[in-house]
Amino acid sequence: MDAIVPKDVLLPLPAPFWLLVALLLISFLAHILFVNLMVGSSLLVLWTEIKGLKKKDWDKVSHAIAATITVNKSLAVVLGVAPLLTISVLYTAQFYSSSTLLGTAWLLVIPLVILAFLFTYAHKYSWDGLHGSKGVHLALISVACGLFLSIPFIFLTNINLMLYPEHWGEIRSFWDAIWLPNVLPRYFHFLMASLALTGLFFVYNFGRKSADVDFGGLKRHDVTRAFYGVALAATAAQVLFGLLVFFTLPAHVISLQLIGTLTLVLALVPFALWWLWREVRADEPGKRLRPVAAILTIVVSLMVWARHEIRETAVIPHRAMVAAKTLEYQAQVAAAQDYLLMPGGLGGVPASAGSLVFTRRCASCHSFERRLVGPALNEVVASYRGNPQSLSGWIVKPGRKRADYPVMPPQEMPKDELQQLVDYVLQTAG
Amino acid sequence: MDFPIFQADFFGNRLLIALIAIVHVIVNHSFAVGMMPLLAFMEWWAHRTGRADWDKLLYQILGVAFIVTTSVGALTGVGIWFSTSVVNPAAIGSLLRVFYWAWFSEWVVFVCEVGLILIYFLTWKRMAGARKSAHIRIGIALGLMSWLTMAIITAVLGFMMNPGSWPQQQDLLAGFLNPAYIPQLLFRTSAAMLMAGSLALALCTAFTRKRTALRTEAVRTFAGWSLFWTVPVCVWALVYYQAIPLEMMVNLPVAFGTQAWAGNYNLLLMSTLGVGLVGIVFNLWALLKPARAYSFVWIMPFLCVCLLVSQFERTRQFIRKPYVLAYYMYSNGVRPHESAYLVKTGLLANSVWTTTRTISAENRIQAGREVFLIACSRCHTLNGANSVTTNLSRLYPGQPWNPETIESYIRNIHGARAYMPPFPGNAAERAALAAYLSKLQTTSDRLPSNASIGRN
Repeated sequence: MDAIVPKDVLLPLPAPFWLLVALLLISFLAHILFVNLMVGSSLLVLWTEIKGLKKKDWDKVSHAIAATITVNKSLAVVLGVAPLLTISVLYTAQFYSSSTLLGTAWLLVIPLVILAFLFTYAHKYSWDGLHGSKGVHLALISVACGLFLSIPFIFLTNINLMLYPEHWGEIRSFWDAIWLPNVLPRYFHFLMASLALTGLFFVYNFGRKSADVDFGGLKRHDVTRAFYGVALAATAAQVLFGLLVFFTLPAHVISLQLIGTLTLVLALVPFALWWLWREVRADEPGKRLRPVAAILTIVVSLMVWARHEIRETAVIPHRAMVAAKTLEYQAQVAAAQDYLLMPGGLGGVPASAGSLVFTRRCASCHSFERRLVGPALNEVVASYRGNPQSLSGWIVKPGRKRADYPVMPPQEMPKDELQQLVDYVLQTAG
Repeated sequence: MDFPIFQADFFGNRLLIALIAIVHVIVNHSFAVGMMPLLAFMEWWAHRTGRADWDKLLYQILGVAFIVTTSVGALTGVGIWFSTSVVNPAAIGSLLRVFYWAWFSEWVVFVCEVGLILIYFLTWKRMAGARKSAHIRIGIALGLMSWLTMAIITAVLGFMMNPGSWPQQQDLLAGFLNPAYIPQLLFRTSAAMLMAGSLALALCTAFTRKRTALRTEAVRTFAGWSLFWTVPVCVWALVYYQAIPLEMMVNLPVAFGTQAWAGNYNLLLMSTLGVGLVGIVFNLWALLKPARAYSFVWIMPFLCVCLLVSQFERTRQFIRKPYVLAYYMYSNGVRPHESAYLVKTGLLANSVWTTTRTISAENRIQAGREVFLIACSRCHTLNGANSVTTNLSRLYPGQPWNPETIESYIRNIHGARAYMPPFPGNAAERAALAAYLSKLQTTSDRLPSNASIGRN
């Protein structure tokens, strides 16, 4: 199917293209890190709290994780505002087309996030209160997790759909859009990234010297090793899902630069995996956190750049078509304006001032010969003959004479216009 | 014309945006912009007079504000972008390009605001004693940031009603400093203070026990605060009223009361003032006889002020009709500048998401339906809110809906109703629309409730 080509918004970009791209990528990086922490932490809270049902001390770990979500999830949302703003401006034709196609599903993001946050608060602030009924307490965080898992899915579907204008015509609902190639692999890749990042974050957070944590009989090293394990497994899974993402990409979005970027990623990841493995097996884990974090920071930045390369390769031809169409439209609109301004451009005999007022203000509802919304003026005007004052009085402040007609709205206009109108009506009426 | 059509055909697109926006305004003004200065001020007072009971009460009120602003407040703010981008992409797309840097700065302030409220709330108990002064300063900074976010967004709202010299200059500053800006900002600032006072009055009853000195003091203080701000609210409301462009004032009766109530404008105005008066009377009661009432009556001032603010917001949203962006773009996404071209060449011929480009006798009704979707459905539904069938039966009571009569009405619809834009298509499309509309009298149609209605 051919790509659907809309016109762009008829105003210039507010800043140079490269600057907007830079702002988009930097703010997106900040946003996605906190989204990862928000989603990953909710899942880890659920996992550790379930673990805590048998081994009490894990419940303390779970509580400590839950305490951090409040900050992470708030930052995830606020940091998302800038990339949303910038992508809307940079990719208006593509992003707004896909958003509108998803319609209700896209709008659902708002209530779903509100609910997810309220459930997270309810879970956090009822930790002691619901101590006796763990089932209910676990249900709260399970619902929050379910919501947190569904929201990124909607985002991904939209951000994927905007890249493929040739598919827009086939999309009848959200469910059509999720089956476009690439959505599901990207989604699982994102989930693994969330778990990996969150695992590392808690290795750091609970391992800090200043960290004020007490996990009872559970040794800090055991907790650290467990989170390293999460990070290791998730990073390894990311490699697999990453390859799946790559092989499900449509051929036309793959460029040499993209392959270069991804090769760099694949060259770096084994180091991170190796150090993570060593940490999981170490007696005193925590020493290799810095190099692992450094490598993964570079990897995440490269992945953000790779996303951008895919987006640009997909969009460039469409953007050119949109720009050409917009330009042509603007030229034609300007030509039509000139046509209007030329002498005689409107055609026809010059109308009297009164008839112009009549056309503008009255003609929608009144004709002289027949009933439209209001009565035929030929019928009405008889009672105003020789009494223009009462006609202008009625026009400005109509009353109600005929029960089977709607009430006329009052017409406010300058005095001279009113005079011209009354003269015209009284002259014209038969 | 250029984007797929989303249609909430029952609820109406306008109501969808209005509900999200009104919830956001209420949360933003009463839980954040007005509340943070009030809490910081009272925290300072409680610290100076050594009132630990007050300090605890303020912390509890902040807890509610924290939960509501960081969930409902933050998300409904973003929700306005979501809903407007789905309902009218051309309009919000244009607005974002004009105000990009304003919104970007607002984002920076917003990040600071959320950071500060997290710190302010989560460190309240920890930063006691010697560090209390520092904590109060965080509260003051937070209040300032909340106000700044509102100050920036208010410029966008003012621009939508009256862009000032922007059409000539086309630069951000000209749009930012639009004529309605300063009056609206001062009005909203005082209104936020008033709303926060009324909200605190309602909330303090949940955290204090009856017939205690703390309850009496709290009720008195918050009622007094609300009454104090009532005066500037009234003054700035009047100044703001003067800043509405003259030609939009004709919309006031319908904006204020919808078509059904426009005839009873005075009655409606009186009831609105009555609601305000009820709020004032309850505040006075709270100030003078705080002990003699059931606690739930102290929720009344907040309910009244929420009603008034909702009424204000919907009036403000409607009064700029037929424009969505005053003098730049009509509500249906067409610009006045484009009208001549569209009348010449046709709306359907210039639309991307349509199945019909040329009109024949066979596809007339279908073409009319698509014209309706493109030109009318941003504001009108078929059978739901602001439905076109209700309007037609009001125009032609007890008669057949004659296509020619409807067509001649549409031809001058912008003259008959000041809030309607001119029909943006050619004569054949007008006739097709009239044919489709007249058919609605006898057959009922349902527009798809989701996007992707017509495509090329």
